[in-house]
Amino acid sequence: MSAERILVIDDDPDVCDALRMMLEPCGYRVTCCPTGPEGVARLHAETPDLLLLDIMLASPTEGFHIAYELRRDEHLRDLPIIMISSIGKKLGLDYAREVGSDYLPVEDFLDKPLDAATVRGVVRQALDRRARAPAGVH
Amino acid sequence: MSSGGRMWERFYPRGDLRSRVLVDLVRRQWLIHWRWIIVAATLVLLVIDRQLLPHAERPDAVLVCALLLGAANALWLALQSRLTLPDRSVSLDPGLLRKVVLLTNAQMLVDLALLSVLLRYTGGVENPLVVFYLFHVVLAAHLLRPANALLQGLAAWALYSFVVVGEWAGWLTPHYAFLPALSESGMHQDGACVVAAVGALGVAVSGCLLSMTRVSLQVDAHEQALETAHRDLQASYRAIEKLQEQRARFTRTAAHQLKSPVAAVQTLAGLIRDGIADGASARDVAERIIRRCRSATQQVEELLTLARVEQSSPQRHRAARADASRVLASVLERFSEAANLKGIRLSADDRAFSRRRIAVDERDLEDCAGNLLDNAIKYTPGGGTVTIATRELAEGLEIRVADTGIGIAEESHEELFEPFRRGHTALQSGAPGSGLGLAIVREVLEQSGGRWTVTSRVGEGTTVALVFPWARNEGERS
Repeated sequence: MSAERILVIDDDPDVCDALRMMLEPCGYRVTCCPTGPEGVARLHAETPDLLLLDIMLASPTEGFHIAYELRRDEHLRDLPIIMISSIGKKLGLDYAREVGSDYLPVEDFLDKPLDAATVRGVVRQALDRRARAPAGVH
Repeated sequence: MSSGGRMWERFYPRGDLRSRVLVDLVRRQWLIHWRWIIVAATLVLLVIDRQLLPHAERPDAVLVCALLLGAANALWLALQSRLTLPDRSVSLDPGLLRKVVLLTNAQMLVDLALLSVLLRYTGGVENPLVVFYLFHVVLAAHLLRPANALLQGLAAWALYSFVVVGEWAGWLTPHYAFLPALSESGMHQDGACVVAAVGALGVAVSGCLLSMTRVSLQVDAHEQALETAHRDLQASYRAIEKLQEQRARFTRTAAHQLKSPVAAVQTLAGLIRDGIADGASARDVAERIIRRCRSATQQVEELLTLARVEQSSPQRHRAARADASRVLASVLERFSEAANLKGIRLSADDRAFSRRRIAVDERDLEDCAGNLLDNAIKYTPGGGTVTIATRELAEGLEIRVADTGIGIAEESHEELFEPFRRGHTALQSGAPGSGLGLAIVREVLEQSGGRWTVTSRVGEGTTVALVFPWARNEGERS
């Protein structure tokens, strides 16, 4: 069985490397992109099994906008997304409600500072949910 | 607007307060009510007059005059009821105000004419009811513009003069005595008496106009002052709201910017604690932790500098006489090691720096020059050059820092000097930075009356020029 691929879009290189160090020993193949446009290009070139996406990139809400764009993309709408945030899960959820979407376009939230056990648990759950879901259903 | 329209405006009340009082009085039919009382009082007095003074000669014209006043009042009431007059909470329509002013003028002129007719048939110069002319003049001066009150005053004086002079000259005959006892007095034919009566009314009308319009104009002036103060207050309130919003945004961003390195440090420390990073990788993680802590400390220092500059009085720059050559030489020395380590050539001839004094606090100048040099070194790759030079301009001293670094995209130029804003190329370079350095520079320049310019091309380099005004007496030497 090939390693599951995780793409990280975060402009903080220390966070990217920390995630790589937390996840690679568990058998995942982790790729990091420092900007939104680079990350989206990478997604289209090689679709990963999971996306870890920082909310605050070039703008305070660029992460959310990328997530909503992906949900509208025919090929990527089923990609599980975990939002990394330093504003806290509650604020993230509040913002998602403010944006007015019918559903939250992410699987889960990870609050900074990141903890290896939590990161691994959340990532595993998201991947398992995706594996259990019928094809074409997110 | 037509010249006719402009002419009419002279007759409208100027202040919003007086316009509203006028409209409110008309809406509440104040003049109409008074007129009904006067009509009724006249009829009652006529009955009493017949009883008490059966020999007094009262022509039918007196009764007709009272009835005409009543008929006119019914007409005014009908005309007024066609106007939809707002209460004081609704803003006034200029067209409606014009109609109200025209209607009020018409009512007053008809009142004056009927009063003159009444005087004509009830004694003329002998009749003390002449004081009712003044009632109209006072009302006009209070409710309408001075030009309008003058019109009413002139009309009152001319009508009364016509009656008494007409009786004296014999144009208006016969004379009806006010009281039977006065029928032989001959007052209406006494030239001195007529001149005195006309003169007295003229003086009384002029006095009323002068004093009442003066009061009204002062009310207008006070109202305008209040309106100006109200507008200023509203502008201040909006400015405070904007400031509060900016401060809240600043606090949110500052909190996030400070939380980011702390969260990264905690994440990295967790890698060591959990045994994920060990040996060489643990040392690498520890290095990262130290770097992030240093970056957070620098950020806090810059925040404190920005707070210090913002809280200091701008007056300190006016009295300052900073020696830019000394400050720049000191800053150059401070950054020479960082430049050497990165392999950047610092090009500056400190003997060529201008020695003329500038009006900026020296510590702030040092912060500004340090921030520019720090940015230039940070965003210039090894092998590049950073140049500092000064140039004397008529308005002040220009301090120019030019580098051969990564450059700044044009769309980022405007927001570079905003707190926590960093250009895209700066973010992509991965170089650490708080985004506060240029905000500090902007604050100092705004306080000292200076200015800045940025010229840059991506991939070629950036030149930032700051111009500080000359210190007192230094400008005269240029």
